Amino acid sequence: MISVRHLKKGFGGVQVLKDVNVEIGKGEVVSIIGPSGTGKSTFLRCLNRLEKPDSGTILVDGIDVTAPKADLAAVRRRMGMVFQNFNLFGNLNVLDNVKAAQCDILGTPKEVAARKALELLARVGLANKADALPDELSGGQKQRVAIARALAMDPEILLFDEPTSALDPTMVGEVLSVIKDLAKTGMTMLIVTHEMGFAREVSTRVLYMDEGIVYEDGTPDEIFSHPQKPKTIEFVGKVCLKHALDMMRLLREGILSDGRVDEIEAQMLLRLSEPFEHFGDGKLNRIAATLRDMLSDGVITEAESQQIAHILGGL
Amino acid sequence: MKTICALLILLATVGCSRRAGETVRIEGPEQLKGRHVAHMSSDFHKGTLQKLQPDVVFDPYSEYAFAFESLRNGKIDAISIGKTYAEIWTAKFPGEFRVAFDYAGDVCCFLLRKNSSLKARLDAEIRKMNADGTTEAIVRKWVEAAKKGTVPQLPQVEVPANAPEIRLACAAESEPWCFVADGQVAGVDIEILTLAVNRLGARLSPKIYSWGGMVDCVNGGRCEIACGGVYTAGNVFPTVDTSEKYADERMCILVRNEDYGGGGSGVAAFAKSLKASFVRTFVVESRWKMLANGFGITLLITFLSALFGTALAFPVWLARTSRVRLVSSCARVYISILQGTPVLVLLMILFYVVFGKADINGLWVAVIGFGLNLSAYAGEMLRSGIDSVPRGQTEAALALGYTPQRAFLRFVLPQAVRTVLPVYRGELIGLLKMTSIVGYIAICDLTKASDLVRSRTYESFFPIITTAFIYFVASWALAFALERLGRRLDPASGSKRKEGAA
Ligand SMILES: Nc1ncnc2c1ncn2[C@@H]1O[C@H](COP(=O)(O)OP(=O)(O)OP(=O)(O)O)[C@@H](O)[C@H]1O
Ligand SMILES: [Mg+2]
Repeated sequence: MISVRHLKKGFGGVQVLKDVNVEIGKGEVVSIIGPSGTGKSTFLRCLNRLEKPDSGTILVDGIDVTAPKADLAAVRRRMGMVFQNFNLFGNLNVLDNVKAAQCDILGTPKEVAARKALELLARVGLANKADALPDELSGGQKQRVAIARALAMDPEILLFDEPTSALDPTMVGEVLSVIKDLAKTGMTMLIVTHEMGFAREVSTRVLYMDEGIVYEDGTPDEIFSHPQKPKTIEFVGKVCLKHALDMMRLLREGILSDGRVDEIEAQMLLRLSEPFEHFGDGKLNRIAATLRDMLSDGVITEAESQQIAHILGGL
Repeated sequence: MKTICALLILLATVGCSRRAGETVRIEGPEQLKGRHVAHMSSDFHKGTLQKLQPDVVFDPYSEYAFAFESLRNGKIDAISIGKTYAEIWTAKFPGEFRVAFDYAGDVCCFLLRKNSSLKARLDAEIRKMNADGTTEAIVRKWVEAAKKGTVPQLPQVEVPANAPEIRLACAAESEPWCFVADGQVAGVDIEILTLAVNRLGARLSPKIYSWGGMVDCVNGGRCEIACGGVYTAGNVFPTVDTSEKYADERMCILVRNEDYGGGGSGVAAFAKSLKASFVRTFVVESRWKMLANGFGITLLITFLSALFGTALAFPVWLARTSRVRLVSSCARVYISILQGTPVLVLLMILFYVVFGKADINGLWVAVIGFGLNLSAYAGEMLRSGIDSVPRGQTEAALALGYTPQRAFLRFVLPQAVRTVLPVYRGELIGLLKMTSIVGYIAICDLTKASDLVRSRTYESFFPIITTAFIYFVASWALAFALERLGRRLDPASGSKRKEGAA
């Protein structure tokens, strides 16, 4: 469905995408993960040509998006996009936000578009907000409207660029559950995300991007539990450690202390060590090295690193 | 602005009560010691009076109508004024004023461009008319008519079809010399010049300017002659030539008549005087028509300038945000020059310098001037408005398949307009009031019409209050209309919302 070959893109001398190659089939739900600034957003924005690639080809259903004469509007119509910052149209109410492009671009009659918009709003659980203004909505509600707006064009592909990063933690769930529901419908989706648990659960495939390329490509299990290449291991490991730390904090603050502390710690350790599994005996050294890294990056404190080391001693 | 100033002067005048302890009757310069004398900016005899009485206090005034009001209220003690005016005033308001003494001689004449070939020929004609008593008879006729409140007919002259045109700039606020009656310029100056120019085989085409404007006009080559009750006092206009005199004049000191009993008191008398003022200001010579026309011109200039300026704001914004450095720098210079130049100065530059030689109607110059001024402000407003709309909204529109242009018009512009509308509204109301300066470039707008009426009625109250009231109502209506527009653009109110609910 989407075929990317030798995609290159730089900004003022900095080569962000060096050589991206990937084939994505119909109905695949692809999560894209990777460190900040590695060009995940840039890659997504190249797909619907919000950025102009420097070179390489992108075929969508066999149509070359990078061709000088490509009908961008036609390509974009078939590829919906959901942004980190929602980007709802401030001068229109919720219903009109969902309705506008149908009427303006597809020429759908007003009543038909309105009916469809209401259906979509119901699907994302916001039918009662049809005449609210974007400013009157919470972040999670805004993002759900943005999803409905993208769906209104009946796209074949949906691109999500960190759809939950700008959200209050309490609102992440409502948005993710909408995306999960969508994934079940067989829609082709590309999701840039930092929500590893979600990526693992929802996607059929994970791309780890680093160094300007698709550094590692595999199933969620392969990437999260058995990463093969050093940068992936480091990244996933860090994410797991970070996750473990978050849980420890919750434990310490008593939020999770319902008498299952031991059980949770055990789970945590399991998760923690997963990506490092294939180092075999070198696993502990590897984890220690990663912890040192995180300590020097300021991601964790000395006390926390001690604590992890202490738990690891039990392994 | 001018109206507001005038209103302040008026309030100051009305609010002041008669000076106490006024016992010495003013008969000569000795009694002017320490007294307040109104002195017009166009009066060049200050020095003469000061030599006679060094301790006189001069209060500068821009119009006789205001000085007159002040004298009546006791804010000042005397007015330095031409004897012809004094004669008319004392006749119009019997018993209220008297001439204390006269103190200097002067002559009436016209102004011409320096070294113009017209001067010799015009002077010759005036000399002929002086010799056979024509000019003296004309002056008598207009003075007597002014005292009675009538307006004589101007002579009808035969003008050959191919006669060359001689353009005349008039300051038409000085009855009996030059003033507006029934929407036409009239007076001694006009009659004499009509006859003289006719004898030179040319056609006289007069146009109304302000006192300062008419001198600029002759200087800049817009007109050949300027008139309007010019007393030369030994050539005090260094940049222009003066013509042969057509009358002698004396400068005198006009004071209140101490014996005057007043025009009655009580509510009835007040109501009667109010009614008389109303009739004088609006009814006589259909002066309301002049005021109404003036108001029409004010609205027209405001409307056209707003249209032109707003339309121009878009190219200004485009240039300002251009990625070509040269273009954006030029736009920046354009904006700062226009924002830093007072509009009056800009209008003068356009009228007397840029379009100095072109025969362009002042109205268009005003529209261009105000439009350019507005475009600089509106361009910047537009920029800030557009910048305030998050870039992401455009991207979202593009991602849905909109073209950049369409996304701009559909989503960005409405939001930008909505944010800048309050400021823009203030700017337009400012524009409406700012148009009151166009009198300087020979446009008879509301303010100028009220000036002209005031110069005939010798009273300020009615024309000024009316003018202020009209400006106020117009500003209010404009604010209201833009408020309505703002509400239509605001998605939080209005029909869109209901449509969504349905
Ligand atoms: N329009 C642009 N102009 C200049 N540099 C840009 C532009 N867009 C992105 N970059 C740079 O390109 C690099 C990759 O950016 P990108 O947003 O694609 O990263 P990302 O992987 O999405 O990171 P994050 O996880 O933080 O969103 C960054 O260093 C960024 O500064
Ligand atoms: Mg990004």
